[in-house]
Amino acid sequence: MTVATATSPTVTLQGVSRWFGQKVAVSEITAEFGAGVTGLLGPNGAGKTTLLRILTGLIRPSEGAVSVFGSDPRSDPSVYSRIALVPEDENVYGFLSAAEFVTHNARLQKLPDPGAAARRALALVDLTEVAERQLAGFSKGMRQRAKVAAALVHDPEVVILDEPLNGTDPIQRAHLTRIFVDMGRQGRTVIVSSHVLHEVERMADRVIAMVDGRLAASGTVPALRKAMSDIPLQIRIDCDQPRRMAAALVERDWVGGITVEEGSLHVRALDAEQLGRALPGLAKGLDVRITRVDPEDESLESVFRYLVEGR
Amino acid sequence: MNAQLAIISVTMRRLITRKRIIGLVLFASVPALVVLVASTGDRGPERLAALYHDTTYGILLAVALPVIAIVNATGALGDERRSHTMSFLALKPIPRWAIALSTTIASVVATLAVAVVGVGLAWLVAGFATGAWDIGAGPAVGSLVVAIGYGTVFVPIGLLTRRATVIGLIYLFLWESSFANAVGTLAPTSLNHIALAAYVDLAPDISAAEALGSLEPGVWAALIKMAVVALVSLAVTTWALRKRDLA
Repeated sequence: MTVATATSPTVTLQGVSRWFGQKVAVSEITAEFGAGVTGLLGPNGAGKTTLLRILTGLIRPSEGAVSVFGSDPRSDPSVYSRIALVPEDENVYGFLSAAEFVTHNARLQKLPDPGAAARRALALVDLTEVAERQLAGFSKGMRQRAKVAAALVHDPEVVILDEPLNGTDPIQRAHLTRIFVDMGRQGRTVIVSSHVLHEVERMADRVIAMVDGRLAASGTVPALRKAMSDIPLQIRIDCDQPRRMAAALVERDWVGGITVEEGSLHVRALDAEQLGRALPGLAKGLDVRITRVDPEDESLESVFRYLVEGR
Repeated sequence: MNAQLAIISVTMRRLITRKRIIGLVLFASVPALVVLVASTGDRGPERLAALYHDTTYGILLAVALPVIAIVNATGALGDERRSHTMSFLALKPIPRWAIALSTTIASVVATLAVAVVGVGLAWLVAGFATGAWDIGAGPAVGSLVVAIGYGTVFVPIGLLTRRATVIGLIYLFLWESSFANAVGTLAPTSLNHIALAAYVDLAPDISAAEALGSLEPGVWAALIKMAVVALVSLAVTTWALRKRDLA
């Protein structure tokens, strides 16, 4: 699958694969990223972190090529003055204060006034008041914000964020989300990985879905949501008269199949939304008492797997 | 502070933690304590000098400083990789050779800091006890050679493998202490024997001199060999930063 961006691309991946021994972590990915926020969505182990590490030059692709502003970051480190990565790992230099950590990053970016740049970045993520505290004593969410401040200290044009909202509380999450959205609106290339769809939905204009190291789908968030709602889902319904309910459901054209068990039925719903809307009325009309309705395979992973294998 | 100094400073703070300083300084002070205790007895200056050289070489230069240098060097870049903080260092607009040089300098200086305490204290005590103030020249130059040798060689090894410290300790205790000691022609493959060659040049009477094997005593020869070792290590570290996975 090839994924292109609407704007002129700043980051391109051409046939990128990476394997570790026998395990293929990333497989033949061709994609372009441009201005705005792009969500990289996929279940844990899908290869998102490996892809982002390849993209930043932290690890080599086994095959294919990476280009950021026309250069390969591994052979041209000067490109790092224009890009930044917020890594997934929560490890930071615990022996430094937040101010020292961000100032250190500003110095490595060769900024003319590292102290002032660090203060601006810390203010952006609301860490000014605790700037002199050691990072070792920070909560996971605070460390996350310190990493974001360190990444943004040099005002990068491309920002790559690997699960940036991990460990943050709802207020911090909303604040960081706003920062990322604003950066996208300013014309920066923002790539955010997450395994949570609604998290990505709040900030990304475009989503690329990954499963098992491959690109599974791409497009706008509504388009991807639509694709996901079109997926047949296995729904378990516990009720006191499963045969009666099954007989009523089997006639519907949005039902792909039904298995009846003692006290429950398993419905393969071709349109889960329709099933959800119809169930209360059917139960009332048939005088059936429903005690439980549960999707059996609605995890993000299974949805993605369908996008890859089911078409 | 420029980028290189910032890397040296942060790497040194990472390597020299407060707990580590206390332990290392106590360890490095052992030769000084031994000479101090011995000087209170009826040993003459010559016997005190011999004791000083035996303990300073045997404890500091042959064991303590190499172990400290191996730990510092393997951690200089290896710890960044293992603790997943490499992105804060490597994803910066800094040439790879500059990162290699800065972290290697931090590794060597962190070891020299311990050497200065250990060798300096022992020098002070031995100087007062024997009245010969040139007695510390051999250990001083020897520890410089040790810090440069081990402190540079094990930086790329730390970056390339997780077992770098174990490899370093096997090299120190098996290869150098056993094989290179037993087989004279292997002495040139031992960083410690090269340091000993510099030491013996300035203190010819020390008992460890017989372990030199095929090496000739010589300060400059030892320093030149270590400069070559350091340059090769820097080249390998730069290559590894450019070509190998950093996460």
